[in-house]
Amino acid sequence: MVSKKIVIVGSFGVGKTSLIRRFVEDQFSEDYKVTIGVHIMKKQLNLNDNDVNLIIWDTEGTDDIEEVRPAYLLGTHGFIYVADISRPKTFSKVDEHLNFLQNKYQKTPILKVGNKSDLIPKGMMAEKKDEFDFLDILVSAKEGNNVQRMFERITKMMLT
Amino acid sequence: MTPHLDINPQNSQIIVLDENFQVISSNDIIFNLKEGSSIEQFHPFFTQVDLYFESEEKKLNCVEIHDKLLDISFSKNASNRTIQLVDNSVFYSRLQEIAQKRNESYIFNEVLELKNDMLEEAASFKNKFISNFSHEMKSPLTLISAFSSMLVKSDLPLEQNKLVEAIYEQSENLKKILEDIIELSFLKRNQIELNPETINFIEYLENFKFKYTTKASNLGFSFSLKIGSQVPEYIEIDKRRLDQILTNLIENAIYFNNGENIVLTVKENQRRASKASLRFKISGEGVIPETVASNNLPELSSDIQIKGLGFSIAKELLDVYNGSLYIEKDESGNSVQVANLRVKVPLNVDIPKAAPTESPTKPTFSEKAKIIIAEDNGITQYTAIKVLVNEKNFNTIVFSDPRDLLNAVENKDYDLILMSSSLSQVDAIELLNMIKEFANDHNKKIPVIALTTESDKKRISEFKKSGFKQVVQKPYTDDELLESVYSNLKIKKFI
Repeated sequence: MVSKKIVIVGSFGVGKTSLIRRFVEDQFSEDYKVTIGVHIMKKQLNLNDNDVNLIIWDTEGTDDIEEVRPAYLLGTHGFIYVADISRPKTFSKVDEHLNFLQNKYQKTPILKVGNKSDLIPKGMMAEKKDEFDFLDILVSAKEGNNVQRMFERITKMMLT
Repeated sequence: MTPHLDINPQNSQIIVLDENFQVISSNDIIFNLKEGSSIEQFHPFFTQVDLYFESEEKKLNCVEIHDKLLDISFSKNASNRTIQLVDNSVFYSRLQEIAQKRNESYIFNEVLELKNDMLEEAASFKNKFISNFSHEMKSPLTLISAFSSMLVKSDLPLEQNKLVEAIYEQSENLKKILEDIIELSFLKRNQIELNPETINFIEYLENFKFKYTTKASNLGFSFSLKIGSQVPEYIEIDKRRLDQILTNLIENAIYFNNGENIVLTVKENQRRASKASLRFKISGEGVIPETVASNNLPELSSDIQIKGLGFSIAKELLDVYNGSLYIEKDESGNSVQVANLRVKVPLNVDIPKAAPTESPTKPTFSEKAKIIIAEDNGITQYTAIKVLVNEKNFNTIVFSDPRDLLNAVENKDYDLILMSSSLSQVDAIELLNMIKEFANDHNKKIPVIALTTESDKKRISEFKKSGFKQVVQKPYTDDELLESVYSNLKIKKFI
């Protein structure tokens, strides 16, 4: 079975750990616990009748992507860049961060994700979608919306 | 984050692997690893373990494996590969606690900033809404107010006259509410100018008493005034603002009054040098709801809260004067509004005598005055025409296009222009400058009156500075418009 390493990056408090927990364990906690260093989990995903072993690296949140230790990023097959759509500071440097990753890890796909979509009132979703069109997908670790789809999309990107 | 490596035999595990990454030996200080087992199967971290033996990156700090926070180093020689695990959980847990506090504080501040921005945005939206809303309300209200005033004066059957009177009265109430909303909006934005003047305070209070005694007797109760012996005869204050404070509080008392008497008591709290603190107590028999007293900016959802507007305005104004306003209960449980106000007491009083005011005359003209109405709002056009035509002293012509207006003032003589604050998106001041430039010699000298929904004092002052003889603010009544027209025309010419 093929194994793929996904590294989740983004500012602190955006919900990187929560997204992984939702995907791997289907659990969510309101309590915020800071991740330091790196925490690794795995989950098998079946995509188009192919089993893929996803090794998911949950990194410590940082405002500066260059602070992520290069040793953690060795052998990465795909990045998930997470922003918190309720905190503009967490996506204010998205272009700069993506440029850094694209230059340093050429050909490694990056999926841009806006977490905490549950904080957008339901009736305003269509309006907000335009505001966040720089993101590939809006997800909610709390409610589980689009979390599975998010991992399926990055897997598809890594396999093509 | 550079870890303090605490390497000693108790927290360090050495794992020796073969070329297939199977465990040859391990001292099992941290984890139990079976000889011959695959390190790749032990934890997902080791899935790509081969990369670390080949890469320059030979060490990873702070990796969480089975609830332990480890520093992991890789080395190899010709025959085997070695992994060293150092358990630094205690050190990293301390770091985690520090990071937790720091991040929580950052996030809290970010959320606070966002909430603040949202509140500011909401306040700005609210002010914009009030401004637009009041602007849109003024023209129709002008029509209702002016026409009902005209109808009341006409020979209608008694029943119809009463109905029209009711319309007029309610339109005046609506006008007052609108003015209050705008006023409060200005006060909230601190856009307030004070024009202090020296007034005879005792005389002022007596006039106030006269005004409310009349009103109270019409409503079936009485109004009395008690002035303390220490109250200064002269004070320095913006009379209009003092009017607003007292009027709003007394109107509030009237609205909630259930008894027969409303009393305004004025006392001096203290005086130091040229400054005095005055206390105004307005008492009656009635209870003012707490919603009125606590609402800084009342919602417009109920009648009671609309009445609270007056209280809010008085409160904001008293804040400007470093004063205070609150409601207390008397022995019988009735509400007493108490306002404290700081004023200047002039040492030498030199008050210019006011010139006797002349009431505007409405003569019959032998020759009709030619009046231009430059206005593109249909309601305002219609209101002004109707009010003027009804007088039978005026010939009116309406222009809604600035080019037609300029053409007219160039080629024909007129006596007065009533001009909207903008005409087909051309600003009135700009248009007035063009009239001065292109009009014939006669028309260059005729009075131009601005009809505007503007409430901003700066803007009104700009109108006056640029050459408008008078600024009439909407909503106006028929009498207000006519008074303005008559007082600016050279009447002798038409008699």
